[in-house]
Amino acid sequence: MAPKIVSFRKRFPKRQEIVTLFLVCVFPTHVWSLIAFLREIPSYVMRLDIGEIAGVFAYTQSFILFETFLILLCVIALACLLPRQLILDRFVSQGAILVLVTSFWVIPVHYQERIVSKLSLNVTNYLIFIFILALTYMVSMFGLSIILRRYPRFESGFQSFVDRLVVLSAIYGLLDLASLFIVIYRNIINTLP
Amino acid sequence: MKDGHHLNQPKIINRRDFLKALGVIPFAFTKWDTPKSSATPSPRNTSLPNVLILVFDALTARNMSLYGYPRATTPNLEKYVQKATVFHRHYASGNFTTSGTASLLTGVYPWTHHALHLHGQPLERFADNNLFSLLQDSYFTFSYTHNPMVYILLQQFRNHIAQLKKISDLCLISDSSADQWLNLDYKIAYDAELLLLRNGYHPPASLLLSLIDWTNRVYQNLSLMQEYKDIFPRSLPNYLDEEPPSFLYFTLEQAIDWLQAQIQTCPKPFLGYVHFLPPHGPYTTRKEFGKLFCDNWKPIAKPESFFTEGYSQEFLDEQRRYYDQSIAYIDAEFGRLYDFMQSNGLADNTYLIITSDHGEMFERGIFTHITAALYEPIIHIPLIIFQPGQQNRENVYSPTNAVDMLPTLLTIANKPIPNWCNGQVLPMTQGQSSHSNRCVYSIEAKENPKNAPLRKSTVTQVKENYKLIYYMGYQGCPYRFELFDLASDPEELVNLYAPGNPISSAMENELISQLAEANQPFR
Repeated sequence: MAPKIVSFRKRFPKRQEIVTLFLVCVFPTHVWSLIAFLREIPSYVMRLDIGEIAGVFAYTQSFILFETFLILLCVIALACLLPRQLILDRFVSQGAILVLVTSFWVIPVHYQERIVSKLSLNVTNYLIFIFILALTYMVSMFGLSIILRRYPRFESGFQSFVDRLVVLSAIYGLLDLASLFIVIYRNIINTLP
Repeated sequence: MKDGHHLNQPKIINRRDFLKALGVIPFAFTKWDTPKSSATPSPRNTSLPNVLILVFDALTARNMSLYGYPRATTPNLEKYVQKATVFHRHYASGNFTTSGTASLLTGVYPWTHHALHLHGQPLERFADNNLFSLLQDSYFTFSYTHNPMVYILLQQFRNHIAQLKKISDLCLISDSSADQWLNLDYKIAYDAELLLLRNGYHPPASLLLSLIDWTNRVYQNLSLMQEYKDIFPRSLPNYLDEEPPSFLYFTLEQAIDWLQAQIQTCPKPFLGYVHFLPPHGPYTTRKEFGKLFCDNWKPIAKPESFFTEGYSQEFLDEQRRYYDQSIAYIDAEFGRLYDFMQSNGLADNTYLIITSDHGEMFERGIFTHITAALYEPIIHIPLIIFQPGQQNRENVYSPTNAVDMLPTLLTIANKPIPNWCNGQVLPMTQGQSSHSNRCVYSIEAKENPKNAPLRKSTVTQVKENYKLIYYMGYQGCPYRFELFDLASDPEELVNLYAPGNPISSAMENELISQLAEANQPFR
């Protein structure tokens, strides 16, 4: 039994790498949710007070924190399950490409209804649109992964980009902590008669 | 050495610890019970009759055959009202659920309670000044609704409701975490849930999980459609807050079954407030009702409103037919409930009140009720009261309003009417009516901030046979009046408003003065 555990641990990324990739995952999820929240502020101001707006923000950010953890878990699971040279050997940079490219390509999926109505797409054209979306996603994902392996300068440049991103994401981490505190506080207060 | 070696060993959870940890897993599957209310039990006056208020969301009196509609949408009600009081000129206080229901529950107009927005709540002072708080020491209070907007209101009053059921308790599917897990902070959690997963026109705030949620809803929709296609061919009744597919499916039958058991077993006397979603859109009905009204009947052609949404009359007529079918569906379910109450003797000791929160519109290029144009189909709602022991049908033709419900119920419970209440006691016969000179109001003010005077809104004033509509602050329509004589022109086709007209001037002055008075505390 013991040798199997050791073998599994070898396939597991290092703690520092996990923390770095978590902070990378924080960036797209939190920026997207903040944009969505800020877009709704005018309607919230019409009907909610400051405390209630803070409550909506806190629930939103807590959920996004959970979503970020799930994304991280998925990448870790892939790193553990796939051959190690695919993700594990370059866990942070390859994981960051996976997360950032996927997040970027999900955006048109969210806008698909508007795109379909704007371009008046019929079913066939809609399927072509989805196919092009999937194809460009695969091409960018594999293309960037190959470039990462072939060109060390790209890898070091990407690594320094990730390092800067991580500093920014740490701020969102603080917001998440405050949000969790507000959610717990609101739910304790509301249990009181 | 041994200790040092032990410290350097990687920490591996042993089998015993793992089994201990497994013990906490059942807690993850524990469901929170329906929150217990802090409504204090007190000795109740058992001689009082029960009160059961049934609200059918978006039910306009204009489409009920009971009120003269050419299609036979309410045959059961027509049969049973031979022993009830029918109010022929009853008005909603608002044009959508939040404002209309808040007025019914607080006895004040929207310009006083200021629940002016979708998902809004009245001002904080009404948390302890409402139907439930004023009657909780006389009745066992319970409530249920399918509609999240009503549930947000009921959450504000929950300290005075002995039994407030969750929405999901009577649903086939209700995928709302706010309802199931964060029930005690429902209003805020529901807003966050909408933002995260179902943000309507704008993409949701959750980048990836919202797509999984959407896929799940599509799957649920398809599997429910498959399962119930023989009974509900146009889909099950459901609630659409933003865009399809819905997250909440139910059947009216299930809610009526629960209500039958509830009124039989709950402590007496009870005050029940049950707010059903049908016939609110999407107008889905059981198969047998889907065949009704495939006739060539057409409503009277009306000019497009200033607030037209551009819907073609063909589309509106088709939607009207579906809506009429939904009314026939709720009428049949009401018949089932009333038969049950009669067979169990409950009808002999219960005030049964049938009403709505607002109406629905299929004309002038406008569809449903989210509009600034407060024509009769939007605000003329049914009110039928079955009194214990009543043997004859009574008809009341004087104007009444949803704000009258609270003072009427207080009178039934022999309680004083608070001075902040805008309503008056409903006349139970036309002879009792002292309302003939009274003005009643309906207000739409969704685009005003909650804690500010109304500057952009529509206010209607009904007095005797006349109805004045005042539009103010809208783009391209800063100030506009319309005056109709509802006795000679019930379809509101001829605008009688003229600045020099004495009726126009008198009604205009009265409306402006009432509005200024209502706005005063917010200046």
